[in-house]
Amino acid sequence: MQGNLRDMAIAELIQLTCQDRKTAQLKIDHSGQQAILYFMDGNVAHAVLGNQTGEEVVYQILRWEDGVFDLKTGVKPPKKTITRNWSGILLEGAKRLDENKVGDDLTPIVKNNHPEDKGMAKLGDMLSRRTNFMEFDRGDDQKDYQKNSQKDIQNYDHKDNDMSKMDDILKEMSGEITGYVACALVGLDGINIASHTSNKAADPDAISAQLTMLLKLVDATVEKLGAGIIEDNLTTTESAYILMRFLPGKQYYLGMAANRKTGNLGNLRLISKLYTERLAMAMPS
Amino acid sequence: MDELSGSAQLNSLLLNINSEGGFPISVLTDFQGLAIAWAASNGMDPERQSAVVAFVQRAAAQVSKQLGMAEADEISFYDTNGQHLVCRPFQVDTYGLILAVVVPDRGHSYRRATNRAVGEIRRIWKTFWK
Amino acid sequence: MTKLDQIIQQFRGELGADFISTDVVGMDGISISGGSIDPNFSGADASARFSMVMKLAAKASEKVGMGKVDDNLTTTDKVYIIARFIGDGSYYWSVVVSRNATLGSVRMVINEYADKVWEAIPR
Repeated sequence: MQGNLRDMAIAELIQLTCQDRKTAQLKIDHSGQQAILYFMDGNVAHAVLGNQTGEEVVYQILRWEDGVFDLKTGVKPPKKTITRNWSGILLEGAKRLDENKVGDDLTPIVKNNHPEDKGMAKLGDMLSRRTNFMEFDRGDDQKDYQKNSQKDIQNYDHKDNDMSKMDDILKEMSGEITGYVACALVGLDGINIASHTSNKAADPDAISAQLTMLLKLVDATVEKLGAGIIEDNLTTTESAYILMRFLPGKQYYLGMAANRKTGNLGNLRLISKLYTERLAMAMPS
Repeated sequence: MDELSGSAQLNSLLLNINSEGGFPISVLTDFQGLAIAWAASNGMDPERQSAVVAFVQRAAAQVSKQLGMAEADEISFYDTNGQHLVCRPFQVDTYGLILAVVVPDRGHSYRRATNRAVGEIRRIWKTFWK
Repeated sequence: MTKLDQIIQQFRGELGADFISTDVVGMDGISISGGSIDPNFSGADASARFSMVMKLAAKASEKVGMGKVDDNLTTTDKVYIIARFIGDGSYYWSVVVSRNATLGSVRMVINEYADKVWEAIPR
């Protein structure tokens, strides 16, 4: 897969490749430099930038906002220079953004003024929303960061009630969709806030991760083309209708799937409109 | 019937009016021509029906505007075999909807069935989605 | 005018005033036929960008076990953008219409023309 960093940030590429448990090589070209990241079974194993290798390379390139990338699956790393798990790397990256701290041989950044700061700001924003609102797999090395977010953790108990409300709304919505298969409320980092499916074999988390990539690419494409503000995106496959609709604010979206044979588009779009309004009202502020 | 979801009640309603009115197909569609609910005999194409019905409604709306008339309450097409398509556009909240049925011949009554259906659709909408 | 261009012209006529743009695009992102009524709309840019969208949609659908992708429809506050794989999936056909368009009708017309477009592509 090839693309532009303006459509998909490096942090997102790392997250989605790892969530997919891939072995892969990611080449990124930016301002005459080329960085190469290697993934092994869903973790970052090695990174190279010029003469540098290892974790510091990742922290440097996380700030790259423009450039092109080429992701090739099945390419094994030539060596292992990174041992930290991927979510720990992204959290450390966000921490460095907060502290305005960079690797030993990197250019110091001036917060909010450095043009490459935007990439890190996006990363930090993504991770702070996750800390505030959702549970995710925290490795041992993330506990320090967790201590610093004690307030967020205390607030998290209140979120249980909100989560239960979301589940109830999704369950109710499932009864309204003709040919219903699954639905989920998803953050733009690809993590489910709530999900519901009639198919026990389905993996809602993996599905949401894939679909989030698609929605973000479509959103970026529409913006680049000056085609207006996206409302929804519908993919018709041989077995399903898959609809994604942003909630107001475009930080979350509602994803729905219906059986191609028994579902119908008008019903799916109508229910998505009605229930995004309800979900938006039920979201904690 | 109250145990069913709103969508299921709409589908059930259309099945009932088909049975009551002898219609081979009835669809409830939005103004974009996408069916929200339908009941159809074998061989009928509800998606095509919905697309065409919305197209018809749009043309009728332009005609009304050009002639300075109020919005159409009913739009009908008759073919030479006497079969006819009846479209009933109406509004619920901010949503424009069209109930369309195919009436098999001129002898068939349809107005009462479609009136009742429009009223019932409004009730279901108010109960489940207002 | 090639046969493909003729078919695309006929198709445009069916859509009338709602038509904005259409392109028949190889999966390399290069358009082989089409056009736009909007001089500010870059068909070449759109073709390249949407080929990425279609590739990603196909990949995502395969990964989640939803089968082959037929089409992708994006609704914005200004337009509908419909991108549909045609033939063996080596090309896709994009159609952009205004929000005034009757979407169901547009999809119906696209389905009717899809085979003709595929047969007209020089191979």
